[in-house]
Amino acid sequence: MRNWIELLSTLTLKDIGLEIRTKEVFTTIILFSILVVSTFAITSNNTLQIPENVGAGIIWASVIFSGSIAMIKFFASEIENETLDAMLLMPVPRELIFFSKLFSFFIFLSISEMVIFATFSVFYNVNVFSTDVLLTAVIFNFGFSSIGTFFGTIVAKAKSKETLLALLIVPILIPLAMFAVEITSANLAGEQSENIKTWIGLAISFDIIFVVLLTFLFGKIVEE
Amino acid sequence: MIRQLYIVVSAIVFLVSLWMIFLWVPTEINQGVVQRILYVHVPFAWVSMVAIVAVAVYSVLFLATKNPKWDNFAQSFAEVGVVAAIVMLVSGIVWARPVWGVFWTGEAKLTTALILFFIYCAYLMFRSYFPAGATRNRIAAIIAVIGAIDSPIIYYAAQIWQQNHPRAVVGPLSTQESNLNPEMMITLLMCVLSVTLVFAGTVWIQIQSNKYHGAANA
Amino acid sequence: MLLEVSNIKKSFQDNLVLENLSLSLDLEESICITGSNGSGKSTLLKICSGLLHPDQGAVNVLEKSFLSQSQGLEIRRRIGVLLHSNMLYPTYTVRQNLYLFAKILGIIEYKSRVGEIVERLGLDDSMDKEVQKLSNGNKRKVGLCKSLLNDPDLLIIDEPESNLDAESLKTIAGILTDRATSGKGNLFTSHSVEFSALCSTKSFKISSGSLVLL
Repeated sequence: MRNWIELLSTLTLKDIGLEIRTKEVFTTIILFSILVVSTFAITSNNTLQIPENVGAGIIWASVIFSGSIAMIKFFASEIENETLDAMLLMPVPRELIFFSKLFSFFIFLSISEMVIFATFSVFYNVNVFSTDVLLTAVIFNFGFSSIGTFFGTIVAKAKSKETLLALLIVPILIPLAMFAVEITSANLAGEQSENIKTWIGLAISFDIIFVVLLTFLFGKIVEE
Repeated sequence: MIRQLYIVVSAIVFLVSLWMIFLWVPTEINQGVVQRILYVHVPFAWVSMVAIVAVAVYSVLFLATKNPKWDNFAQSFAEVGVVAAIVMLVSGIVWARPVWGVFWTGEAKLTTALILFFIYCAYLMFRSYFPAGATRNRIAAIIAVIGAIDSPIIYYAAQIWQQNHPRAVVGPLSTQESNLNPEMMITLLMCVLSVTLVFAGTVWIQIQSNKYHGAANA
Repeated sequence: MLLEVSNIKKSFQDNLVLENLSLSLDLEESICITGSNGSGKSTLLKICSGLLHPDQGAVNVLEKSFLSQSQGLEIRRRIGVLLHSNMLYPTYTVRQNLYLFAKILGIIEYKSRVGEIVERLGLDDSMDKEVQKLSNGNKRKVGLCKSLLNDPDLLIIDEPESNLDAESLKTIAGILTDRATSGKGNLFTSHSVEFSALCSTKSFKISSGSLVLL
């Protein structure tokens, strides 16, 4: 058991080390989503008049789309240099490869989101940061990272990766996206969603179902 | 022989249902002529639902047995199902406008139908963008299974979502289901039968054609 | 028996690559596989290293099968593989790459182990260079170091001679012969007759999907 934890941290640190050198994932998520958020701010006459649910939609839509583009970057190099195959040749359980990717993407996404929230707060003159929203972000990022890692691995060998990945993960993520937008928009309006418990329950079950399912299926998609 | 008979029977049923929709069935009082869209919308919604279940079931069968036949079945049902889903969505949108006052609302069934349509599209798009072979077929089946597991969650989430976001306009259909009189019911059943026949025939042709292409490249 | 491949069949779509192929590799054996381009050499090595599964037939490495996850891990701990690609992280230095793989392999004294191998292949000077800045020949050597890290019982190499000069080839041939005499096994493919003559105990040629003893 201790070995597995050591191995998992070695693999996760490896991804973080690679990202520190290339900075591809961070630049993609942060630049792309700032672009989306600021485009909405520039093209609306008065950002104060934007309804809360639209604002929350802008934040999370920008996270989903920039995240799915970054996911492609995250996997492209692994496939190009066949380092994913290198890991498959090593004595590493498939599940650990999946978890290490999930964790490192989770870390990248969470850090980038803080930048996105800050940008949104500035442009729309609101305060996005609150306990509820941060909790929402953690639950959302976990589900997004697991689904993204799984489908990122799948599409890495396909044509038109970007389109295909977005088309695959956005519909599946809809329940999580609804959850995130609901909690965030209530918070932007200065109140708490009345269904907050149901939503958190739903989102956490979503995360658990998908992490278990995708961990089980991951071995089947990497082997030929 | 069976094939010719099938075509003749479906053609007759199809013509009869057309006659029933346009000439025989009485016009509904509340909605007027528009209500006749029901006879298109419901049958296509029915077959696209059948297709979703079939894709999931055949994908599981394929993963369990590795028999390429089931993969071919799943693909063919998805291909015809996506067309049926387009007809369902478009006829629903056209019907909703005069009846509900809007083309689209955030109602749970609508949201779920739309999302499932996207999952179908993703499934088919994946099949054509990934290098053909055993790996692709296996992953496609896995995607179908994930979609099937996701759909009840989507429906549940859409229902909670709907509670806080009431429908923009309330129309006659939204409050209570209008009761269909016997003639309307018979017409609807006839239409369901004819669309199901056409659907099954198309899926069957698609299976044959995929089997032929599959022999060449899968 | 280090490796036992019995009656495997592998096809990609309509293209039947390997058919009814059997091969066994015992301790102290060094087997070279030759064959024209596209004859299935690389496919065979991928199957032996567990990266591909055969459509039919069985592959046993060290009397274990890749089909079971736990046995697969056990095998991977004891074999070394270098395929056509070097499978290295290009933005990491040679040192970072080798330390990473050594840690994953669970080698406790990984620093001294890496130093030992690197010295033998003459890579000392390049240790702190990024892999992407190395010449192709040196990249190949790093790949080779990676596959030798765990002093594998069975070493599988796809074309060891690619991109290497005559000097390095001799070193590698030396390593392979030393391994064979000390009771380990090697399986490699090669286009070079001289190289295979230097370090193989047996040679096979793949023709129309099965092996022919040369």
